[in-house]
This record gives sequence, C-alpha cells and structure tokens, in this order.
Amino acid sequence: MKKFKYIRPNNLKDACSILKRENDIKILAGGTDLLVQIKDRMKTPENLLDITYLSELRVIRNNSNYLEIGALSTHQDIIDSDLVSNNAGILQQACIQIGSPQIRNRGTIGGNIINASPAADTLPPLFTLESELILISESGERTVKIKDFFQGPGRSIIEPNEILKSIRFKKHSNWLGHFKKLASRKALAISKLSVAGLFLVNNGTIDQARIAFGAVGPTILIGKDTVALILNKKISSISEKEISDAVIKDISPISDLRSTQEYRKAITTILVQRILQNLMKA
Amino acid sequence: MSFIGKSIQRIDAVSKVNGSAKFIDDYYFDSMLYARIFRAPVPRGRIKNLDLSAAEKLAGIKGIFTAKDIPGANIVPVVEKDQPLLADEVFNFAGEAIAIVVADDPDIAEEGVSLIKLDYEELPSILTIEDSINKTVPDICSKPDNIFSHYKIRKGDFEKGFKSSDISFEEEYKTGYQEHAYLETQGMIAVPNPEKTITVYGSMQCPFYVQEGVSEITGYPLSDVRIIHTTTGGAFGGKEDVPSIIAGFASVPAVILNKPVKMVFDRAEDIMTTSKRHPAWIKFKTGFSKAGKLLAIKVEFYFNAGAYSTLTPIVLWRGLVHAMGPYACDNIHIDAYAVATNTVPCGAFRGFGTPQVIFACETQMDIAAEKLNLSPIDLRQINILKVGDSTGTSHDLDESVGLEKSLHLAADGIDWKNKFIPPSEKTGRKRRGVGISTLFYGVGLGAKGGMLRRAGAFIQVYRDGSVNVAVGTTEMGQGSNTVFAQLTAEALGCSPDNVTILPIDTSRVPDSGPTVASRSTVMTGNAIRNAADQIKHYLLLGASELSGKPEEAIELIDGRVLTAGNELKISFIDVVEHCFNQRYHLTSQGWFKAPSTSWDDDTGLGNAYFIYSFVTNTAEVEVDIETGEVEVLNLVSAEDFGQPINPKMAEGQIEGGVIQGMGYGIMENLYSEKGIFINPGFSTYLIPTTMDVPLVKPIIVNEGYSKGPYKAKGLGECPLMGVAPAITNAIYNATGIRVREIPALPELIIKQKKE
Repeated sequence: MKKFKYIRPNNLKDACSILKRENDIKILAGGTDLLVQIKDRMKTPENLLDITYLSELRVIRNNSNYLEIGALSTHQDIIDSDLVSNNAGILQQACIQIGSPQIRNRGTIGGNIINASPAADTLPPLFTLESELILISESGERTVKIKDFFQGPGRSIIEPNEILKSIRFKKHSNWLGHFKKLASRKALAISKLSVAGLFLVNNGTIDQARIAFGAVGPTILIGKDTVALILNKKISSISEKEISDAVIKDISPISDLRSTQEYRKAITTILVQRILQNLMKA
Repeated sequence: MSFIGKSIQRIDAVSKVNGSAKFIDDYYFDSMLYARIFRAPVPRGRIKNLDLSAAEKLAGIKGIFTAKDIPGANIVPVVEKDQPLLADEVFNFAGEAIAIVVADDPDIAEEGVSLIKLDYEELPSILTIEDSINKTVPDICSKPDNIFSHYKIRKGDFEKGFKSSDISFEEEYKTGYQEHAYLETQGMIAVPNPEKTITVYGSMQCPFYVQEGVSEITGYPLSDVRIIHTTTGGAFGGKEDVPSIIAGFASVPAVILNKPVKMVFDRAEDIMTTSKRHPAWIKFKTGFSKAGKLLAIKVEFYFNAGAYSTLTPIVLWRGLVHAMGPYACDNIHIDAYAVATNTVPCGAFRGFGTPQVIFACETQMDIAAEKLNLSPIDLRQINILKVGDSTGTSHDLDESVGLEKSLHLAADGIDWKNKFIPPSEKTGRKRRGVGISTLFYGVGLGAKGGMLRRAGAFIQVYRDGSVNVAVGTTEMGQGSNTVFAQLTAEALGCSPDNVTILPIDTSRVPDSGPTVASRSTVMTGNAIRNAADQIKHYLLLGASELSGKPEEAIELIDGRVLTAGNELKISFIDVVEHCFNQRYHLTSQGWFKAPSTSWDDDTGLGNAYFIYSFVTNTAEVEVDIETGEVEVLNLVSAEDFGQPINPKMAEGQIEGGVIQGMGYGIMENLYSEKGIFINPGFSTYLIPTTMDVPLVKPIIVNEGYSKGPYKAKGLGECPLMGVAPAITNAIYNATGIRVREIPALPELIIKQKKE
C-alpha cells in the first residue's frame, strides 16, 4: 500500500471545496472496491476524501413524482426501504443479490455507479428506470441521464471536482420488473451476465418495455432491438428464435475471466425468455 | 477405552474462536526488518543486468540480496536439488524470485522492489503439457526430454486382457490447477542468535524440511538451526515444501544483517508463486467381461510439474499407485510422466496426485456401467477390493478393508435405489441426478518414503500430574493436537485436560518426517504410545506399591486407579507423587518406524503402502439444462479410516474435505495468460462459500487396523479426493452430458451439450 493523506470533510460544501483544491484525490464512499485497489497498489492516490459520514447523502425520499436516493445509501438501505419496494422493486432485486451481507451493509449505490463496472448489478435496473444522476461541485449541480453517463469500463463523464449526490427516477409502481443474473457461485460473485426488464403489461400485451444488459458489453447496454421486437405484442406470440436474433444484435460480449462470448450470447437470450415467461405468469 | 472414539472438544477451539491464537504475522521481535521479493516478469529469460542503485538509495532500505549473497548453498532441498532459492543467470518461470529487499517496514520494501531494474533476454518457453511432450523447446529442465520423472506398472498381459474383454474403450481426461486457499498466507520470521545460531518461527507443515532448508541456505549445521512451529492457519499440502523457501527469504538477510527478518506473503503473491495441484492429461483404457469383471487397464498420464521438480516425483508415484482405482485386476499397464513447463512448480495438495487419476478412473467406471447395462453400484460390487484381494500393485490385503461396507452405506445415504433413474427418462429445465465414486488411499509415505518413515515423541510427567508432550508432526487445523492429547491420556491413564501438546520445536524432538500423507495419527500416535508405555511401567509399579495390589490387576483410567473394576482410594496424582519420591523416571522418548513396504521400479509392483483407507462418495445434483448451472444438493461420504479417535472432528474433516473436492470439481479455475495467473485473489479465484455448501453427510466406517494406534488409520486427505467424479457422474445421470474435464463449469457443460 502506498501512503496517502486522509481528509474528512464536515459537510458536502466542504467536500466540494476540498475536491476543487486538491489534485490526485479519490472519494471514499463504501470502500468495498477502492480500499482493495489501494491495498493492492492498483490505485495510488495522494489524497483520500472520506465522505462516509455525510448523512445528508444517505437519504431515500419522495420528491413528488420522483424517488430520490442519496448516493451514500447502502445496498442494504435500499433493500430495507418501503419507498423503493413500492416504486422500484427491480432495484431491490438487484441489491439483494450483491456480494455478501458485509458488502451490502458497506457498499453504496453511488460507489457502484461511479466504479462504472459493466458488471455492476444496480446499473441495469437503474437504466430501465431511466434514472438521472445529480452531480454536485463547488460551482453548482447538474443532472445527467444515466444512459449518457458511462464511457467504458471504469470510465464516466464525471469531472474530477464533482461528487455524485443522488440518483432519481420516476415512480414505477404499476410496472413489472425482473432482474436476473448469473454468477459462478451463490454469493460474493461478480455477474457473468445480467438482464433487467421493466414492463407495463395489459392483457398479455406488452404496452411499454425497457430492457438493459449487464456484463455483455463495455458498459450497460440498452436492449433496443429486443424492446422493438416485443413492444405491443402478445408475449405468447414471440418466438425463441426472434428473441435470440434481437438479443444478439443488442449485446457485444467478450470472453474473459468470468465467462465466454459464446456462453454469454446463448444465456442472455435464455434469461430474456425467462423474464418474458415470468410476465406471462403474472 | 475412555478417550478413544470420544468427541472431546478441540483443545484449540477457544483460541481459534476468540482470536487469541497467535499466527506468524502477529509476532514481533525487537528491531525486526521486513522482506519483500523482486520477481521474474516473464516465463523464461537470461538475466543481463540487475540495477539495484535506485532501490538502494531509498530511505529505509536495509539491504538487497541476490544469489551471490547467499552464505550457504543456493538450493531449496526437496527430492532433487534442482531449484535455487534465488534465480542466478537464468529464471524459469514468471514470478521466480531474483532478489530479496529488506527494509524498516514492508511498504518501503515494496517500494524498493518497484525501483529495481532488470535487463533480461527473454528465452523461448513452454507453457503446456502438450508443448512439453512435443519438445517445442528442448531441454528446459535438469532432466532429458523435459521429463522430470517417469514411473510405470507392468502387471500381467494387458494386450491379452483387452483381447479377452467383451467390451473395451478409451477416453481422454483433463484436470486443472487447484489453489490451496489456506486462510493464512505463507510466512516466516528468522531470528539470529548471538551465539551464531538461528531460530526460525512460522506457518508450516514440516519443520524438519525447513530446518534442512535453512541449514543449506545459511551453511549452519542442523544443530544450530532451530525451527519453531507457530499456529498454522491451514495448509492442505501447500505448506509442505514451500515454507523452506519462505524461511530462506527470511534467513539470508537475517544472518547477514544480524537482525530478525519477517517474510509474510500477500495473497496475490502466494497464489501466483507457490505450489498448486498438478494439472493433468490422462488417457485411460479399460476392458471388461460381459458380466462386468475388470480384465485390463491401460493408462498413460502426464502431470504438468512446472519449472522445478520439487515434490513432483513423489506426487507422480502416488498417482501411479492409485491410478487403477480400488479394484482387483490382473492385467495393468500404466505409464506416468511428469513434464517440465515454464510455469509455477506444482507440488503437494491434499490427495497428492490421486484426485486427477481418480476423476479419470471413476468416470471410466461410470461409462462402463452404462455400456454393460449394470448399475454403477453393481459394477463396483463385482470389482472392488475386499480382504483377500490383491491391489493393482499386487499388495495382498489381509485386514482392514472397509470398501464394500462404505459402498453400500454411501449408496443408501443418498437413497440410490429410488434416485438412480436413467437420464433419458428426465425432462424439464431442472434435472436431478445421482453419481458415485470409490477410492482407496495408501496411508503414510509408502515404499518411496525412505528414511522419512519414522516419528518421535517426548513425554514428561510433572510432579502435580500434569503432562507435557512434544511431537514432530504439526497441527495445521486438522485437529491432530487434540487427537494426540486423547492418545496420551488413554495410554497414561490420565485426563486429556492434564495434557499439554507443546508447539513443535526441532530442538526437542528427533526428525519425525513431514506432516503429510494422512500419516500423523498412525505415526505420531504410535510414537506417543511407545513413549507412554515406558512411563506407564513406572506408574503401575508405583500404584502397586501404594495399594498393595499386583501390577497386573491395576488399571489407570482418566486419573483414577482401579482394580477389578473397583476404584481405589488413591488417584493418578498420588501415584505420580509416589513415583517422584521413589525417583522413578517419568520422562520418555518414543519412536515408531513404519511397518514394512516393498516396491520394484521395473514392474511397478509391491506392497506400496503399509495400509489403505477406503472411501465411497455419492452426490446428488440439480442441473439447469439451459444454463449448465449445477447445484449440488447432497454429498455423502462413507469413509473407512479405521478406529476414529475423535468422531466429531473426523466428521469435520470429512465435511471440509468434501467441500474442497466440490470446488475442485465444478468451480475452482486458475486462468493464466502468457504463463502468469490472472486471477490471484479470492474475488476472482472462486472457492465455495457457505451459501454454496450442500447437505453433507459424513459416515464413519470403522474397519480397524491392527498396527494402528488403537486400530486407527489415516483420514486427512481422503474426503477431498473422489468428490469431483461423484458430482460429474451425477451431472451425467441428470442430463446425459458426459464431462471429461474439470472444473465442470457451466460454459463447459453447455459446450459439451451441443456436441
């Protein structure tokens, strides 16, 4: 481990001014990734800004049509929240499958977003919820759509002087959401692939649909072709072959440590089919 | 018997649970320094220049040491002496140590490592078994043709056996690396003493190996090298030979700088540069009569040894002896090869060369059963070893063969009769199936163990009736110290609460060989009995003098003194007190030499081990036929290791080993790119978590061994070895998909399904 300067701000305003002042600084939210990377010298920042105590960033609240989740809300906070449960159950489905009890108690949704892993489990649900990210710096706030936020594995458009303050999305209380992931073991495993689907279904017909894929591209991928295929159709009328063709157009998986390109292609299709089958049952 | 077969609480349970146990990284010595290692960046190269200048200028660096600085011989002594502690001129695998950097703190030492500049010429290298066999690069190791070792078995006439067979078939199998994944990484502290001797503390299985290693490296005689074993957080074979290297890294700077030096590996370094289970490529042919009698076996198998031979010759030999499985067969032809590659040297791992061949052999039996239209149980019933049979190496078994019992107990344990349904009758997305494997395992070092096949013990009874026992084989988590306390108490007639098992110290006990090969209970157990008997002689004499009863009529049990079943008014402590007053010698040295074995290298026949343990594993799985995901629902392991000394701990050993075997079979996978492991951490090298653990049912099958201490045999390794094929055979039974490669990852199962 390389030594670093530890800075703990009193409030969000202080944090923003420190970020502006200091160069080569990393923000500590939950630390479940960052501290491991620092220990292994994969990251060697001069300064560490510990925002874990900024309780103003750890709130989940109703905001008229929106639900707003503070960036320091832990995965367990989200699992425990009735507000999320009633308005964005799909996000809870993802959070409950993350890591282990220790990681869910420590890891934050903001950290999961900023880490920008294409395999992050909260991201496909946040894409289907059409989330917006509120970024704050000393010069003010700006709001970015989550689909415009990521640039590649580990890369996003956040500026070095900005902090992710919160995530907000419209309430989706009548929507049916499904998140499915595959991993190499039942806990403490990063997804090989994941699929989130959020739907409004009327009499067996899909009126609205949003699909997002994790770990099958450099960032989270939106299922454009798959959505186009299923929209306004009776679920029972869609063939396996059609789904497979559409899904394969939507995704661009590679072979890596966790799985193979071939397997990811085949199984992503199967997970989409399973989600549609679940919709039929509903 | 009062303490044999009793599940007393582990004597180290409290210290492990409340955290008071001291592991090597918890120790500190005054003015101690810290070592880190500079390593080879590619699989093979010639060192042109090593520029230490920038690192040496760093504040806090106390010294940087290379091959030329080693005061003794630059070797790691194992079987051959082909491995240097520090690469000189050439290096032969990525991660091989080149320099030791020592500093006031570990972060400075690490910084120093990053400042070393190596100028090298990369040499052509070999990374796979196939390339090594084909000699794509010739002469990469100390032996001709890139082959470290070749052993064979020539029994009967295998060609004739295949001709007379009604069915015969050949298959190829592959098995991968396995990482030990002990919780405590490798670590040692070397402390130089004023009188030019050295004491080395650390985490290890084999203190006497470390003693020899440090003696070679420092040039000190064995008498001046003292090794003290510290609480060891798991080993599984990974701390058999490797700690000699770690001790070398600490000892070289310690003797040169005359300061204590701590060398503790970090996890990535530990996974990337220390020994693993050998990957294997196995060609297996078997022939049967219509009735299912095994008539001929031909096996050719290759282990990837890595860059140096380390323990490979012995691992390979054990693989050879067990390759034909626990079956009686008259015609056997086996060739076993260990080939060199420019990868990390492989070595000991629970099962020691047998899980690879058991996977092949037991899959072969499963395929045969289907071809013969017999149930896998019936096919085994026909062929398994029973008392009076002869093993594959022509060892006539005259006692303690519990395989048949274990076969039926394991089958019943998984409800085989109701659950074994052919795969063709299964439908739906999630399909269940059951599988079985049987195995035998030679206890102890066997015929190739040479002078190592002995163990010592030292017992001292104090005036208050408390007892100290010093032994030469180590507690590494398996529970041997509790077993030793039980054996001592049983033999002396005191309570285990009065027995203290001392930390192993090479100055206290004679070289007792390594703590490996499931040998501790039999070897050290018998040495303890030998020592205890000498003291018991005086205790009985003393009890007789005190009570006026004849010696033959007196029994000492759990601190009580009895005659004809009646407790006398005197106690164990009274007897001890009396013996002290009479100046009787209540201190003794025990010694045990392993029962005899035999071996002929030309035929590969002989009594390879003095006794064998036997296991049947059954598994029930549920496979998602669309995704290839396997959920193991039930694992049953019926094990004959003779008389269990502590049944509860034995069950714990079985449960842990079975899960480690499950990881080996379906989960654990080391990936390498250009000869470098790219997943050297527990977030990327995945072993089962508690969430993945199925219901495990351990069954103890007790077929006593007359020469074992209270009829015990050995257990440590057996639980792991046959789990993988029980699971892959269950996968076949569920889905009709035959897996010939482990780990059986979902990706492989789906690929296999398409073929």
